[in-house]
Amino acid sequence: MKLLSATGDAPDYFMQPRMFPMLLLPWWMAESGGRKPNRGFQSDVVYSTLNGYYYIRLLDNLMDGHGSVEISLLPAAAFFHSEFLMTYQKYFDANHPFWPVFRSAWFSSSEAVASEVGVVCFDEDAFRQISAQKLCAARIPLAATSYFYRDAESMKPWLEFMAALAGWSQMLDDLFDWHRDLRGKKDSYVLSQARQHKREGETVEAWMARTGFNWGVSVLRGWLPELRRLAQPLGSAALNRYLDLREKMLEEDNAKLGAGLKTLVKISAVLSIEKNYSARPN
Amino acid sequence: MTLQQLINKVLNDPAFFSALKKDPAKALQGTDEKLTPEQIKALKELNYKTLEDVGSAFAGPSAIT
Repeated sequence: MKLLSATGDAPDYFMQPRMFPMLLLPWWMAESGGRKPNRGFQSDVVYSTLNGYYYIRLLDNLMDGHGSVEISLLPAAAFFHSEFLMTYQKYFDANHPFWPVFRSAWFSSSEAVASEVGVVCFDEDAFRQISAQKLCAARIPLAATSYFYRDAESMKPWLEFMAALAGWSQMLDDLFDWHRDLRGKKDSYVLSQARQHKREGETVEAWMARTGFNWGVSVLRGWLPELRRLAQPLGSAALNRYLDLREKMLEEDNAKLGAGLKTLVKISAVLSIEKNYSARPN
Repeated sequence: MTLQQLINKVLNDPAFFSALKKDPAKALQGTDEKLTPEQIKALKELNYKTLEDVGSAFAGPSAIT
């Protein structure tokens, strides 16, 4: 767990602004519309979600080959899964409508992780139906929160927003992980686009530097208005501030990394002048 | 040197670009690149500072999931 965090402290990992806000979404939902959240319940939601995250992350790392110590940690999956699930048994009896939502989200998440391995080429549909669904277990703490506050009608718009944010976050993840995925021979929507659109003889790396990163940023930029539209009826000022922050971070990354990639293209162009010149007949 | 090789340098050997800015001919010794004075001038004029974030963003540990 400490290895996930650059500082060695788990809270620093989960509090990164780039992290999908799985811990914050239920809190924002709980306090929306001026409601005072129940801190005991919300602490349990955080505890359950952390265990669920470690469970998924353990399996995901093993499946995509990023793992180094995960095989020896595999028995700990029993602990993570039990703590994730049993926390909710304190609040919802076996016949409560929370459990069908739990089952559906939990199974969909597992199915997405399993299906992703077999995809040869990702188009936008495959991305939305498989990759973006990997985060769908985040529906569970939101459903628990809405049932705990007896506010079941708020669940649907929050789940719709969460699904859209999961897609956006996964696209961002794929864009920034393109080189790690390429090296690890793991396919993604971004890498599939690179393979489809690169010029003849051009490498994936060259396409990413020349145009792929810009393409990815423009896709993310294009999906933001839908996120804002879905956030609007949720009545959470904190959620809207979060979207402002993510938009600002995206533009900062675009300016910073886009400039760096352009410099690489320029260096390559300067170095290729001599080769082109030498190739000409005398 | 191809764009692919340059990207791999950013991710695995960022010090190469300090050397390239300082003395392009020396930095490329041992490669197939034979630089003209115009190329050396052009390489010295580029803004290498912009490369600093590229390596950490794309080569470091994944920050999200």
